[in-house]
Amino acid sequence: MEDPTDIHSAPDSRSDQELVAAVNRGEVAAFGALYLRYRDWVVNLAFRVTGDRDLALDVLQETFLYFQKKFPGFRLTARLQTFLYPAVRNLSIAARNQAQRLHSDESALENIEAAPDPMAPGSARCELAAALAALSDDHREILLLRFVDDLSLAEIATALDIPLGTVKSRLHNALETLRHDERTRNFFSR
Amino acid sequence: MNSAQPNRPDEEPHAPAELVKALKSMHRARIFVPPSVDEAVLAKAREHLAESTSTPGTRSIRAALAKARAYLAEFNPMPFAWRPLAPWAALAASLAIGAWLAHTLTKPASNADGGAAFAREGLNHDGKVDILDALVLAREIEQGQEPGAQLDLNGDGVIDRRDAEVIAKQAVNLEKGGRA
Repeated sequence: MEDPTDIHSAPDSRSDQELVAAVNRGEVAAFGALYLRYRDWVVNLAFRVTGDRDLALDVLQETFLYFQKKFPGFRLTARLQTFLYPAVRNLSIAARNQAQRLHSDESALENIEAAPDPMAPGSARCELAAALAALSDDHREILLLRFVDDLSLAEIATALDIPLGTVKSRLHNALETLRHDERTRNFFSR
Repeated sequence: MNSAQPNRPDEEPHAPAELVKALKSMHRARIFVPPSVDEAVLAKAREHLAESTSTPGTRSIRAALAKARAYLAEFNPMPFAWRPLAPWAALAASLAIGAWLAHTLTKPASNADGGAAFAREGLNHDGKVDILDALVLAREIEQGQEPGAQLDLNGDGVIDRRDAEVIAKQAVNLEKGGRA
């Protein structure tokens, strides 16, 4: 018989809402299914902020530890990504700041954040990375949430707890900055 | 909509497809999560969900047992195999001590009628009834002291040297059966 807690078994086809209801009833397998569904997104988002694999793994565990304590009684009113994003973000920032205090090497962390992937200097991706690094934190965050994590504007507003208009405004400004940046203007002229 | 055209602030901003593709590609790198991390997360979830879905009474018992186990693990020098027997051993010891105390405090001193008297008569308070007690009683009588009525051991209504002799005889066990 298949072990319900075996995370390597077939993916659970239930919706997030159904899985949350099952976890509220104490079903560990449902929690495991939610964990598997969002594990990679959480750890990669954490890596995006921290720039460190080990820190990202720590944030992953802390995030789901935070999530499990919401049960029983948790009500999912939006996509789980929307709920988890602030936790991942805050935990990642905290982890990064703590690492910063320990290592006192801010410049290294800035470089890591600007270039999450190793890339050849002068390449288009390298140029894009540099242009992204030049954006403000708020603008870059919303840009990536929208076009990398595929959150809707409303979901971003909920995740960041800011007005929808603010989300639109920041995203608009981010794109305009990239449009006028010589490193990325070619994307807009194709 | 032509994404190359500037977005109006009131519209949902759109980005060129090539830019979106480049952004996704840049962040495609995946962090490998070791199975040990998966297991750690699920183990904590399993523990939390089991505890949170139990009844308050069960949770209280579990918490008390957990504290007791932690205490025993830290302070109990007893070999681990013996630890389950510790409460029963403590109970048995308590019962044994209680029985001994009850027996010790209520048993009559020595034997027969003289024995009961001697229980009162440790006159020199050395806890033993012996010839010294007879001498103490004899001295008290000679000195005209008035020993307590309980020392009328031969029951003749008078406390005199004959009572001292009773003590002496019983102390050295000269009479047959130890009776006066």
